[in-house]
Amino acid sequence: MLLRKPGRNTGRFTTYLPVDMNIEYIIRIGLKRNLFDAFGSEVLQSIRELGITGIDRVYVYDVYKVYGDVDISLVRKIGKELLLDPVSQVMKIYRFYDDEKCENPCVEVWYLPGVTDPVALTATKGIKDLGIRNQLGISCGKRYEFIGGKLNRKILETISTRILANTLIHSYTIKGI
Amino acid sequence: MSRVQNIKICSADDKTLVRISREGLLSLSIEEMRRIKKYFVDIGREPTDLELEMIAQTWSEHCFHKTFKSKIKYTEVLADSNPTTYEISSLFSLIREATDTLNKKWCMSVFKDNAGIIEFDRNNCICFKVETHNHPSALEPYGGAGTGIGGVIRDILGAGLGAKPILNTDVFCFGPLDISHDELPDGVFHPRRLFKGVVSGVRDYGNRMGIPTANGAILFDAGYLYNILVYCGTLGIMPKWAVRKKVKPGHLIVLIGNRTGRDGIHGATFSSASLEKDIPTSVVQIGNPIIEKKMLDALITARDRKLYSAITDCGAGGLSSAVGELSQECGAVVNLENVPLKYPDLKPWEIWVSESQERMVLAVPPENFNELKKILESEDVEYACIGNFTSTKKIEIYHEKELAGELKLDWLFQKTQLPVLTAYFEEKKPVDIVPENIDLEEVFLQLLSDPVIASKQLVVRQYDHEVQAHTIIKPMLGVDGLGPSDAVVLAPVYSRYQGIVVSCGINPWYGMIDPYHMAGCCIDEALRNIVSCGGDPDRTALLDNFCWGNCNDPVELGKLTRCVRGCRDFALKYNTPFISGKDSLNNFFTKQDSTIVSIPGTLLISAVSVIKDVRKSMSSDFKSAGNLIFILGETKKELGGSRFFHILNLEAGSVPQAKPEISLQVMRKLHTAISQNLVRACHDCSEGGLIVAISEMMIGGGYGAEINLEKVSSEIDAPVVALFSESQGRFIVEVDEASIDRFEKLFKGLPCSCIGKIIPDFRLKIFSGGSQILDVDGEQIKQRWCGALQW
Repeated sequence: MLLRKPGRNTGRFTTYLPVDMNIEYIIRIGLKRNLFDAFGSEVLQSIRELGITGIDRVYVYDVYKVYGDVDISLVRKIGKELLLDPVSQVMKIYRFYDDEKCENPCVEVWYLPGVTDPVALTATKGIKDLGIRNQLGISCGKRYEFIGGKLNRKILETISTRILANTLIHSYTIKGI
Repeated sequence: MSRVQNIKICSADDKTLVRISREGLLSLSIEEMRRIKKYFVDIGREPTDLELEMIAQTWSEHCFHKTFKSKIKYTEVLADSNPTTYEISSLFSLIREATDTLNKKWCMSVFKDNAGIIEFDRNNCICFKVETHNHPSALEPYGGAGTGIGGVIRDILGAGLGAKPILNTDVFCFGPLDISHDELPDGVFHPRRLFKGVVSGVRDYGNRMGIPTANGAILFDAGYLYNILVYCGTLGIMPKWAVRKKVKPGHLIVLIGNRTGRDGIHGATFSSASLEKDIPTSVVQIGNPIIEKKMLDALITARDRKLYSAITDCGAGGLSSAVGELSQECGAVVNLENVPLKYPDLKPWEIWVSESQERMVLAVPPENFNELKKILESEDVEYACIGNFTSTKKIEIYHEKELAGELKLDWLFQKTQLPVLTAYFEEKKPVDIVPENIDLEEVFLQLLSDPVIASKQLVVRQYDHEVQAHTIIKPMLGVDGLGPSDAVVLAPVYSRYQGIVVSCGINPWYGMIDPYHMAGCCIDEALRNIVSCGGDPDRTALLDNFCWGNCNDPVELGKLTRCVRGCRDFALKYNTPFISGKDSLNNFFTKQDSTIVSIPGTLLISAVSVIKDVRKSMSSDFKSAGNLIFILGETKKELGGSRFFHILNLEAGSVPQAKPEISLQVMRKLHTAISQNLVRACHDCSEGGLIVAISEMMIGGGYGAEINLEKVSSEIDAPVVALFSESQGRFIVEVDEASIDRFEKLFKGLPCSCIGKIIPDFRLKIFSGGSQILDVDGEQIKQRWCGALQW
């Protein structure tokens, strides 16, 4: 599959075409459970300010969708060498469609197509700096996992739209309900 | 298949013209559509989509400032007077009048470049610009605020031949943080979410760019519930030779920085409309400070090697605005297929008006292009040559060799016959009341916790205000780093002691009573802050930023006109020229039942001054027990718009009025006193009045104070007036025993009174009428003031 075409001679840039979206992995990175999750605590406080009670904890993860010319070993290399801080974080890698069964209710938030994703741009450059020349794409999102409380889809919709996602630039998916 | 579409307007009737403007989100009026139709009928063809977009962008309120350039028939009815009508040639001319009349030699470039530029020392100039990013921040607070600061940084990079940014400022206005979610209409974010998002956006962009954010203000009022205000400023330093830019035919048009996508399309025309529930996704931009930082480093190197002859940033309107402005005097040919894209399939008009961030346009002599390329490549900055400047006086835009647009620049930028606007202002006669039987201690503690007055350390401490190592007077100071600073002082040249002082003044509550006096108070406050930190009042320049509501309403326009007249009059009286400014109008929200909610008319005055020796700069924290406390300036019964009346829910009282004829003398003498080391600490009296100013100086220094209210003013007998009046032109000053005689001699004939002394015990004791009326523990004061504002 043709993934890119060479840049024109007028300057130093190349025009990228979309990469193959069929192969897709998720790298999920979160804080080690023994560490204080400041971001999660802030989200929990905002949820309580909405009048929603019962949730004990919120875990926040960075999620990276890697797609294109990749296999599991390459994704693991990207995760370990570029994205993970092994001192404070833990990583999980899975195929995108394997993750539908969540232990706890979750919300995933991603940028809508076309919205600038600066972290993904930097990650793309980092991948090149690692010497990886495969034609792949990466996009970045957040995953919020809720522990405790009697949550239903409606409550998670409220949390998503009022705190976690701005539907003008984000899409969100509710899982584990 | 052609990617350029012709829009049929030559035979369209008015109704169709209106529909074309509305459906295309062009925000063009029927008169403007008729002008466009006539132009194309005369040249015998239909316009392309790109041409219509370019015209809409160039003539948008955001880029063309129609309201500020229009003639205004202004009727003013002052209390106890007959109506007077004035013909005003334009609001912009009023502002400009003060600068032209003062005609300061040290003003190097005013009102014509991307920023105002003043002289700093023999070799360098300072440029300063403050922008607003209100609509984008209301829709996506993190991205909107981040791109707000990113945009104004590029303004500084694009001023003259480019300045190095050395300071960011920020001023925000939000709705009340404690409002219930149920009270908010659909499509409006909760103020707390906006607050967190905006602060985080400015923090991340500024910190990642390595620019200190060290001056600003945060206000809260129900009037900002639907439309928040986000002011972002940047100050830069540049060599004097780099002040002027000149585009010459034959120079290459080089686009550098980020790629172009659909983000931000219609941002310029969008800002000409009000906020409504349904907003297109494309108007939102997300910033990438890493790209801008690389671009900054490359540009400063290229500037110093004199590799380009002109530069401007791609702000609102994107390439259309940037290339249009640069080529205004000559002409240009642009090949859009050379523009680096984030993704394929953008239409030519989308490429042309996209507001993708972190892009700048340079005019490069062809012989310098190779050397420029090397610098850009060494900093990993993408670039493309997208055309060249010509002498045809027209702009020609091609895409894949197809003509996508061709417009005569004289016509596009011509001074048009704008409609005469009508404005009306009626002064309300104030009702002066003095509240009695109030619990003084309770009100005082409430004032300290008022989010407008309370410590902003929660926000300030998120910003890096040390990076670049220029910051001398920091935003928070004192023994525990908790005291507030009136302004920031920078020493921008490492080998020299000469410095820059930057401050601001803002108070919309005075404007709700009388926008004219709001202007005077904002200028007075900005100057007070400058002088408090050691700045020279006679070497101070001002920036104006007007954020207003629905100016189609003659009453709103009347308030704006009165405010602008105030700016002119007080700038003249304070001897301070305006060097740059910006207006953001249409800050109103249309509810579902079609009612319009405008923001309170808000003026931000930013001030920049020069201090000869930063070792003579001054801080506000009390330094030593036993030293005496003086008040400079007159205290009057001016409680209208005060925080004291806000706490008591009172809508009454006379608005504070600036008295430049006295204040400027006091400021000049105070500047001399500080320069002669006669002052140990200095703080201005602003929101909350004298008692809040004293409390903040106590928190900074860790000392207490004894104050005798009878010494504050001989005219005032009510303690609440002496404590809470927000009269302008006042300073609280700490003077040691050894300097008292010289200090008092210096202020002979001016309002200057010793009102008490600093005590070692960390308590605030207030005396009036021979007895103690207040005795509050300093720890309680500190706790109330420092702990009130939380995420």
